[in-house]
Amino acid sequence: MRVLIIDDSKTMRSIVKSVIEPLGATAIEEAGDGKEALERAAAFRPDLVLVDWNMPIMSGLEFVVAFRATGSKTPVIMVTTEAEKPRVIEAIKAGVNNYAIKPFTPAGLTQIIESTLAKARSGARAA
Amino acid sequence: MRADSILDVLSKKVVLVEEDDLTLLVEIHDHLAQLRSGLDGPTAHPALEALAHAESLTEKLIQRSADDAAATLRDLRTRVDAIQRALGAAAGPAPATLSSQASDGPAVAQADHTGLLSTWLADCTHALNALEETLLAIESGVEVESHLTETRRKLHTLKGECGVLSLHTAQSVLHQAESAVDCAGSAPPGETTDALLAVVDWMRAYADRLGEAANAAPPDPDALLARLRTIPAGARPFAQAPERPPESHSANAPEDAPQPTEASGRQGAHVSFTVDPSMVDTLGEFLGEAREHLSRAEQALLELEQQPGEQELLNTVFRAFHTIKGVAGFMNLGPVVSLAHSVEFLLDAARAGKLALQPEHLSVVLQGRDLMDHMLSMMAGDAVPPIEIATLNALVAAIESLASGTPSTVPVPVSRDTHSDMTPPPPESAGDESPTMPTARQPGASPSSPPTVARQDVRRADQTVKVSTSRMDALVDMVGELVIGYQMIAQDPAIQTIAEQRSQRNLAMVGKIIRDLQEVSMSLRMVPIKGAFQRMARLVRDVSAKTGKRIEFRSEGDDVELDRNVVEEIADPLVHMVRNACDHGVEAADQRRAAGKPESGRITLRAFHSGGCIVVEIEDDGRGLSRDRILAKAIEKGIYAPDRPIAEISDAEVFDLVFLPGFSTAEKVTDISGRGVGMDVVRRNIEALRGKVEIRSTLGKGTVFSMRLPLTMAIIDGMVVRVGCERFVIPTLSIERTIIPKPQDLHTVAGYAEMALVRGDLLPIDDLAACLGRGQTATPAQSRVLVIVETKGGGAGSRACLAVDEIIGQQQVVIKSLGDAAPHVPGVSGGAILGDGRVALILDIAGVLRGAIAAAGQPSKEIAQ
Amino acid sequence: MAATHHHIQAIVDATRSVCEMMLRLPVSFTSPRLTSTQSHDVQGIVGLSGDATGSVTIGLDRASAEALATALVGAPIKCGSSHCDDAIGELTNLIVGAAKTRFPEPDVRIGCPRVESPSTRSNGSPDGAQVTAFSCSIGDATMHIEVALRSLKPLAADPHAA
Repeated sequence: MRVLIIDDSKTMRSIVKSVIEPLGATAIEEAGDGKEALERAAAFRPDLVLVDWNMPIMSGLEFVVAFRATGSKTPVIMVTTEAEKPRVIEAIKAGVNNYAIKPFTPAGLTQIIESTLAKARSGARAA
Repeated sequence: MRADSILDVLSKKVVLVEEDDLTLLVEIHDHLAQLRSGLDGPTAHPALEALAHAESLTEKLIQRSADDAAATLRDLRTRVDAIQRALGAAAGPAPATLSSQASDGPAVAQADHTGLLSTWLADCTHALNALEETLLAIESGVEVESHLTETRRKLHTLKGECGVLSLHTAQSVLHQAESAVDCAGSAPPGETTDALLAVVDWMRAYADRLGEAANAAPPDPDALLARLRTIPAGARPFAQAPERPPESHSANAPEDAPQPTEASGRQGAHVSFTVDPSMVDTLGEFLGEAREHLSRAEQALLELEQQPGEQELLNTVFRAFHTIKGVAGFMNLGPVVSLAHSVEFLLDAARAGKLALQPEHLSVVLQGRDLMDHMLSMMAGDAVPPIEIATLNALVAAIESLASGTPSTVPVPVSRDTHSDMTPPPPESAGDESPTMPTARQPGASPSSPPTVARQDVRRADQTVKVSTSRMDALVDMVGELVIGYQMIAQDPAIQTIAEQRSQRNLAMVGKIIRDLQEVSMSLRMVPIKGAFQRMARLVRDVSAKTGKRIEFRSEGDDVELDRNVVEEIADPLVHMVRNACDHGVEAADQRRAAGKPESGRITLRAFHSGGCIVVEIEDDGRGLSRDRILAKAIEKGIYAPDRPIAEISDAEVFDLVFLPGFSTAEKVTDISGRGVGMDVVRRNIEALRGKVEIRSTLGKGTVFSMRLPLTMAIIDGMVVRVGCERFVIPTLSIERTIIPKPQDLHTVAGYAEMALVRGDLLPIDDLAACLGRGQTATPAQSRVLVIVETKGGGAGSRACLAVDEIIGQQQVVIKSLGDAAPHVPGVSGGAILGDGRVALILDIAGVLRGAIAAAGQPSKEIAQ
Repeated sequence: MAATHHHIQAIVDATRSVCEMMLRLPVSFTSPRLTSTQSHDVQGIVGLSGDATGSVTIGLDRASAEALATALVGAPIKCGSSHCDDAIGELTNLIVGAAKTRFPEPDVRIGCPRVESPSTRSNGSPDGAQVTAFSCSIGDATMHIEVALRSLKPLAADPHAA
């Protein structure tokens, strides 16, 4: 499984990485903002994207819109503190498959990643 | 998009959506908002409220803040149904229903007769429970024969009902199950009961799905069918029976219903029924009723054989056929009418004294009853052999001729079993046979059922009445009003000054009667916990079979009664805890041996009264809880951080960690207990009932999960507090503690807001009066009492201090709904009458705290000044 | 209006949940007090805009910064490194982000976190806002939280305001 982690904080990237590694990630690519992530995603072809919302240069939300515009169906999880209802709805409309609220526990994030992947797989089968 | 096309898309999505499908949920949310904005007008549309509610349910699912996502989704589906009805009615033609998508959905649902389906679903649960109980009895080897018959009968009835509802897959599963019973003989191998229990589970799963959506597809039956087919190695008498009844048996078959008189000459023609589509609803009711009548008639006929002259018994039989005839006539079921008419004719002659009932009369009436039952089964869509019209006509003729005193043409009853090979003899043989040929139904041939016993059974069946819960609730409610009304009178100062003894005595007597009445009306809602315990017996059996552990199940206090809502609500927590006990509690046999315990473990379910509550306990004699391991796990998972030396933490506190969210979910998932629901859900469910759950455990000896539940949902334990001149009841469960604050514990933040430092935690102080919109009280904070309240679920304001003027005391109060006159008041869950007759409002703490936060966005009076 | 006790409570709750979930350290608070801004070895600042404007500052001494950064990342971190600044910035971000979802105002946005040493510290609090400060101990570390907030919720909505 190839995972792209986008967060402007190196700390958060390493925390997310420590959660995703035991889940069978074979390759992990990191990006510090949405623009950088878009450039990397084209070559990296991730199976899963974990993206922060609040980032300089290009926000996570803008990234998701642009990423979906490339036609990618890769599951995207927004990892964010934005837990308010309008924000959550905004993110899902932009094309996010699921979201995780910061702060999280490793177990909590793992559960969200696993259920997102399971849902994406069953969706792919149905289609 | 027009409203009805939005509705159409919405209803489809609501059926398809899963609770974690965020994309679809957001789309649903959009549709709801669109519909709502379309309805915004000068007058409130009746659907607005349902729309708003559906919207908030969808939001809960999107935000993952629902306590029970599955239940929330079900609720959402119901709301959308209601919206559809409300908007459909207003917009003229009803929007397209979803029935067209269903391939194997119930026909009644397609015709929008969901009422019948839901009635059946309610009964089905009981029927499946009863069936399961019977199967467990077979396994225990008690009265195998009679239980087998019982099993077969129950399966058969269910099959018939599924037929009426066009649940064809279920019908074929039940049919196969029935065949399996037939092959089992008198000593069924464990395999058969296992498979039949699997059938019960399958049916339960299907019924659950139907409960959620009337056109739900059944669970995959293939594995189950294959399993049922492979059970018996021996002969299978029903092997040739069709999987599904041929179309002509179906009550809905669009065939002509040849009247027996018209068809009397046609050899080999079969009786068939046509039911008007508008009658499908009625048909189900009719079949149920008719069967009840027939079984009562049968009982009475058997007694009549013992006491031929008994008029009351005769009347019972007469009434049965008379009623059936009436309804069948209304529904245009020709063959049923003619048969019922002939029997009625005979019985009427007997009632009028024109005919002395002889054994042959009874015998022919029993035959009529059997044939009637056969016809009902046909209408129910059962896989029964067709009836030749000639057969029916012959029996009708025989009954009529007997009634008019010409016994020579009586046909001979051949067999007792209507469903397998009963074929009343063709007319040409009728005259030749002797009417007195012995049969199973010959008068006097059934000494095994003494009439007294039989009559008792009849009576017992009459002693329970099904009443709709809404009526019962209304009664309880009104009795509550009566109590209040009485208290108002009794405590009226004018009344109290009446010195006359007689008046006071009478008043006291009325008071006593009213209290008794209240007690009785409350007890209407009480049911024994036995049913819930029985399900656990089954669960323990299954789990022990799966794990290879030998576990003995015991229950104590089966007869203890609880509010039925409480019993329903504890079912899931019970399952979870019993699974846990089997899976994690009881050790494997070798470990038990090594520990010097008996090899087979034991799980005991116990219910008893204690201090006005019901305690339900699940005890196992397994390995017990290890406090070190629990602590280590909770700390490792990051859900608990010890705030003092480990040794100072009490066992009870440690065991309590098991209930923290995230404690049990990520554990090694086993087939048995790893279902993703943690003990946190168990605790939440129980606390929602205003109950408590705690754990006692001794390492190596065993564990007891103890649930303390209120006897009824109608009474609450509360703390009565005074705010200004008003009184409020705070549910004891929401209260953490109360403190009289020392000045140094109170802090003023940013000039005006108050906070209290309680055990290293900063808590905001909310003036209860202000929260409830009563304005600020004049009493300064220092002289008030702080009630520290908490609501489960975390988030902002999950814990707070409420400032009140005085704590009056703790007491039990009867919850009274505020009624329609006082619509939903935020922060108030109901009213109560206190001992002195004064009315107090019961607070909903979560609502109060929400109100406090909303108020924080507004400047208080002090700021403005 | 300035920070109410509900804002303070939101920050207290958020701090608690961040510490317990992401640092796995117990936390206990001291009394809040009104104060002027103080200087600390390391400061993480997050600005707020929308219905409430202002900033939340988290101040730490070197040892505490090291301890918290190490607990957050899960590997030893030296104070003064860019990694440490990044971790403290993220910690501030986490606390303020979680707190703002608990604020009474419906629409509050947070900026990107900024980490400063005292020499570069600018005056972050808006004019007229009172600063509420309180401290908490997290494991062996001590954290100071300063809240400078102004709620922009319209006052006219309240009948008592006139």
